[in-house]
Amino acid sequence: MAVMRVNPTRMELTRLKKRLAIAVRGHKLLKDKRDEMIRRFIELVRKNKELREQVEKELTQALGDFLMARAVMSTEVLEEAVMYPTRQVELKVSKQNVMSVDVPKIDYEEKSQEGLSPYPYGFASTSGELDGAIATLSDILPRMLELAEIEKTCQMLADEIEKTRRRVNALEHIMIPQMEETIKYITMKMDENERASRTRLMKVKDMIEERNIESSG
Amino acid sequence: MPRPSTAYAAAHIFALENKLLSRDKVERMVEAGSASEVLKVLSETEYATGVSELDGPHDYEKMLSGEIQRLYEFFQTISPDPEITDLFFIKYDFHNLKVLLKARYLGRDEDDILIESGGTLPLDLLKEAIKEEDYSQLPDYIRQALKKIDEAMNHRVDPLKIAAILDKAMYKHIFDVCGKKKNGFVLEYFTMQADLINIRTFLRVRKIDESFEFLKELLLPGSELDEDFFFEIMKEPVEHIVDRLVNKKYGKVVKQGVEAFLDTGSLSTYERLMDDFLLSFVKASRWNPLGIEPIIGYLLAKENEIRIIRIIMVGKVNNLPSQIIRERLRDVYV
Repeated sequence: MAVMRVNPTRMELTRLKKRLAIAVRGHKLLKDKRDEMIRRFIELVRKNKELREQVEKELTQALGDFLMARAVMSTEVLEEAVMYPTRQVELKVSKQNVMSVDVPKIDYEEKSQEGLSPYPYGFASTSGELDGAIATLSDILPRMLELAEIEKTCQMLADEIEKTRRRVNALEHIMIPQMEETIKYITMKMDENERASRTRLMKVKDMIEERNIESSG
Repeated sequence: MPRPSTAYAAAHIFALENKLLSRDKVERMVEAGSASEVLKVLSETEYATGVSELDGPHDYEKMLSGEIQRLYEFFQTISPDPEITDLFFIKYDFHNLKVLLKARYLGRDEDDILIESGGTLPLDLLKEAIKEEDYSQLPDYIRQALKKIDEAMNHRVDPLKIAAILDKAMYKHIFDVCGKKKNGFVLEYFTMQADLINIRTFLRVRKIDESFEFLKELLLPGSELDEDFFFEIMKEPVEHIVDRLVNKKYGKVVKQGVEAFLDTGSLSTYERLMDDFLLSFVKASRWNPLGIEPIIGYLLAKENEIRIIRIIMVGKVNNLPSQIIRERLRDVYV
């Protein structure tokens, strides 16, 4: 493991020690965050899969109905039938915090006008297969919104998990060992220095003593 | 040019009937592997010119609307009694009216879903009248309906009501003309059509659990089954309608259609039987060379043919199995 290029001084050592303590604490916190996110993520993904399968099944059904309505009516008549919608939906997108990730939250409110039929067309010139398609589609809308919400949340969580994991790994495998190594290096270097200076001192002392003996003798 | 006589028209049409799609051509189309193969079969028929002008199989609607236009122009020249044959084309006028009105209330242009030709009134006339809200140039039956719509929409725009009022006005006009012309055949045809459509509306209303009030708005006039009939039947289980109508000519259609509806919840069987029944009714009386029957017969056969081609093309373009296409396929005329 590479040692950081630092001056092996005492000041540097205290600084590094502080950093190491923070890194270790950060590592633990991030690891916990990652684990919790993964737990939530798996829950969401499971729900997402279920919902997606359900919505897809019903959408296939509705589109199939539409196709058949399309087959027995001409394009113009079909387009005319659905050109004036009677139902309005208001969508409100807000933020929700999941493990410090801002995920979207979609609220929807249907503004149904009192007394208006959900079917915006006359029944004489349209096929009965259209009713089924319209009914299925309108049933599906809340779930499609929920699915959109969950799917986006999953994506964002997955991104965040990825980032956190990279950070955890960086801390665990690079930052922390590196710092430990550096601290060790500095300590050793300083010990070495100390020993060197002690030897020097002893040597000097010896030399002084030798000179004293010579001068007195 | 003087109006051609009925006998001339009938003779002309007998000759044309040979060019209608035959059962085995339809069968070949259903069995075709792809949409372009269907077009190949079609290019052996009268549709050859239409097919050759197409850019690709997805464009088939263009060919079909061209065919409707040709049909209308042809009937303009051949029909011994345009007032009656026009009754089969006014649905395109009413379609355009619906589009124009809805577009006006939405405040935007929806010109691409107008049916350019085929209607009995010039499209520009309708456009102008709706845009300027000046209905004086329009025929009475349309003017009255439009006034009624304007009144009803004053308070609030309800697209269902627009369609319902126009549908009612259309059938009222049809029955007025039938009454005036004293043509029993056409009258019977439209009466049964209105009956069958009203029954279908009843089934659809039952399916979406709406009240009688809702149904009343949608019932077509001129039907032998009046509001009281539906008022009664709304209170009973759906299958009771079969027993009530067992003595009608179309009793079998209702029986099988309602059974399939209760079974699967889908009206496709009913709709197919309804179209088949009306066509076979016309078919049965087509050998009257001095009446208008063969002419109407040819007209409906042509419309039916267009419907068949559309079903097959939609099916083939979307790769549906032949089985599903066949379930919805109408009978042929010849």
